[in-house]
Amino acid sequence: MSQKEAVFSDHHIAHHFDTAEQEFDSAKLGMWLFLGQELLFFGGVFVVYTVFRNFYPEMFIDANKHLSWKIGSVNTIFLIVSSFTMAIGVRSAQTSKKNVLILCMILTFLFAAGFMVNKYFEYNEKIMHGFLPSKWFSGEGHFETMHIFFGLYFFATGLHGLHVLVGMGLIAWIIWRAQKGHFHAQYYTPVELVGLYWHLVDLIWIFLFPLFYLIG
Amino acid sequence: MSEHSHSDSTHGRTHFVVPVRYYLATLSALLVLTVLTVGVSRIDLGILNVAAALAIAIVKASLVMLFFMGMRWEKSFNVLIIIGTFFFMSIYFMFTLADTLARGKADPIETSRFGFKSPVKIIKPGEESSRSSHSESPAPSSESTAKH
Amino acid sequence: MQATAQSHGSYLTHPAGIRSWLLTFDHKRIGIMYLTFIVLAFFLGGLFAVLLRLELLHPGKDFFDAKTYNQLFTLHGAIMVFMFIIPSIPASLGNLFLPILLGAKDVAFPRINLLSFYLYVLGAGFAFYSLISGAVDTGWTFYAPYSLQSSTSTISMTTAVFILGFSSILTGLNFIVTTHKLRAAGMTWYKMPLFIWALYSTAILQVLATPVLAITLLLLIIEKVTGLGIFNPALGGDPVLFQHFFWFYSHPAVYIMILPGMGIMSELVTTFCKKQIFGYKLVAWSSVAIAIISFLVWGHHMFVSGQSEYSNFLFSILTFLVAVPSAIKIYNWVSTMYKGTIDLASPFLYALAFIFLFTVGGFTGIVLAALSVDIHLHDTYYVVAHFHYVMMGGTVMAFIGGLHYWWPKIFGKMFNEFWAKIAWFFVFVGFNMVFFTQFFLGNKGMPRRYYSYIDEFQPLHAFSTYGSWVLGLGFVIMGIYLFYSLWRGKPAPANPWGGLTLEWTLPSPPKHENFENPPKVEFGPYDYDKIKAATV
Repeated sequence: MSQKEAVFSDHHIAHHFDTAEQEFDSAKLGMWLFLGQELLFFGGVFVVYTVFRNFYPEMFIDANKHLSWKIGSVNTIFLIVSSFTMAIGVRSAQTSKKNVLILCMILTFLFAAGFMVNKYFEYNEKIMHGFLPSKWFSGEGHFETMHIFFGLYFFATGLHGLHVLVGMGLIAWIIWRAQKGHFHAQYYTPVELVGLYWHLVDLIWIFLFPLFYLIG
Repeated sequence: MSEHSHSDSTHGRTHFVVPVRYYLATLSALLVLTVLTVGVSRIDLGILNVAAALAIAIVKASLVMLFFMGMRWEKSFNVLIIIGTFFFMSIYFMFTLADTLARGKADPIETSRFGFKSPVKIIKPGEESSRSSHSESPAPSSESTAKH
Repeated sequence: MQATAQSHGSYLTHPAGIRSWLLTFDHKRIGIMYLTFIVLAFFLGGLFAVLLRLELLHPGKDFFDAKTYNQLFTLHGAIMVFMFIIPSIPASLGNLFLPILLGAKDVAFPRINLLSFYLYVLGAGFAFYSLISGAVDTGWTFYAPYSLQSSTSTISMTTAVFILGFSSILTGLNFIVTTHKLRAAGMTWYKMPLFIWALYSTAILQVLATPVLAITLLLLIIEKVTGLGIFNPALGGDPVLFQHFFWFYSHPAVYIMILPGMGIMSELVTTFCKKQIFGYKLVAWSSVAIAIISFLVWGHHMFVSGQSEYSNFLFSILTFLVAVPSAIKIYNWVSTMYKGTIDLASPFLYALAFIFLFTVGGFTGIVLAALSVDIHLHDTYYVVAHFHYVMMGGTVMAFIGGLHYWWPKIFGKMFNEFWAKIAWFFVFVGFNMVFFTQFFLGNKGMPRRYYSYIDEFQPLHAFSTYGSWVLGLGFVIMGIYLFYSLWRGKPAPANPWGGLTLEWTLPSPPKHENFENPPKVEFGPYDYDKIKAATV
């Protein structure tokens, strides 16, 4: 079923590989290793969270009230659906369905953009209330360690947001290459790898969401 | 351990294409679990709230990894990398918490603080903040003191 | 470089031109570029060491004030750890030989390999900027809260290390994929040279441990800039938490440092004893075991930091465990030497030095692992001596041994063996003069990182400083004869030492594409008992 039409271009494997299979498997192994290191990278953030939540449990519950679980939920749904569209997109590349691939990538991109727009509004509100990291913290609260919660909140969601932006850039690159016909059943490695990256971004948010937005 | 193949399969090689129903089912499950986790958080279960939130998050994460990321059908070494990663992360958590949760057992000075300057403007519980409040009514919990 | 019949058409000369070097994807050229920087970093870090030892000749001020002294030991540590020793063997000898030892044409991701190199250069650039813009004085460990308060350029130095970390991660990633996917026909996992097993285990650590360093430094930088409040007690933070974060990486890091050296040891001992390695599988899997267990012991750097007694107990017990696989290797190398045909060439002299010096370092590590003893020895010169014995007496000896072993292959030139032995002698004697003394200093109570000290320590300090001159002289001699060999050295044969691994089947230096035809591997890497090695 994977006829190569005139709209697709051939892929040449790199000189140091013997087969395309070897090249694909190598790329995938490399990507899984990269994901492993990203998990440990974010793991540190979660360790800090756990330590401080155990130090100041009531402060966390109180500070959490200033976060909107509604916006957080919408963002969670955006990322979950974007993960779905991404998975369908990778599958489309795998089955040489160029137009479906491009559509799915565009949808994924839009959901990601929606996520970032929400984030903008959230951050804006925090800033207006003065809930910023310590140096600039001018907000009011019941607990004197509240700045730690918001410092962590901005650090964790900011770092994650940065990864979303990078993901959006990668998706745009995939769209550009896809419309040139680079991806088809014989070669779709970049789509596969960007897909794995994007699912990781979703994965991290799945943990960030309840830990920051759904406390108590 | 996998060895590379010398077979001349540069064209017409097929990889396993995941049937769409797996993706749809995963999406539905994830959305349901999201509703569930938000719902559970609105009920006060005390200490179980954290456990429930984490448990649901772990289930969601597993679904994303197994089906969206394809770990269900992935080569075993790639899966081993992720399992190894989680193993070392759990060591990181457990051993660090073995310290931070167990402080103060020998000497209370281990958990007190000195020279702390808070940037927070403290308002008493029940008091309205001078800026317009957007939150629900604050919980009447006691203020934290310099200890802990 | 003379275009002799052997170097004509080698990777060194073809393709020609500086652009072909700076934009190369050839793992061998990348290895050489790394080697240049690594050697420069070693000499720079060494210079700081000589200077700080100079200051310690007498109590009180000799040449530098206290703040400058703090900067000297910090820079010595930071440059040696992050710019020299962590990349040293993997990035230079690993890049040069991992693909060849596997029978491959290159690493799995040559472009990422070049990116790794340029990240290293970028990181080095930040480090250099930090040096000239208010050099750091926090100690290479950047402990909070002082690193948060110091007016020196901690942000640029920690940024440098952050970037260097990603260089390390990408190199590790490349090596793991290459080992899995690009082995030649017939090369099963148990036919790989043990250097590969060591590099592979190191790569696991590079990929999984370094990201934690990255997040630690990022948190530190953000805390310094914005006052996050997680490490600084004045803002409600926990400084011991910084130590947990820092050492979660930095303990595996010391195994990143030693494992490749142990890999080289397996190559040197087998080649220069013309003997099958004793216990191949044990040596291979002990590298993996070291990699895994190394993640479990970081708290032994923190016994007196105020962490809970449970943590102390846990980490002490686990630290005793991590010594076992290292000891297994020493037993196996010595057993390999037994009834071997020993050739005391200069590379092997370094291997012998390793066995003695690393054993001393290892034993003193066990001493420090004992919780009660560590209370007395923590932050003294005993610790300084211990880690120099393992890092320098271990890794650096192995690195130099490997460099000499593979020098003919890399450059196609033989160095002067007589001067090599002279340099070895100065290095070995000088090293012990500097550092054996420090065990006594530490046990008597001399604290580390101290600018001044009580009078009774002065003779030992002076002796240690004289040793640093002997050691330095050894390295200067080494630099001279090695450099000289590039111009005037005898052309090297393909297999000057009689080794059996794949690199010795190639010309010295090899061609750009490594193998003319993909090799087919029938024998193991140390099957001296099965084939007669042909020494050219």
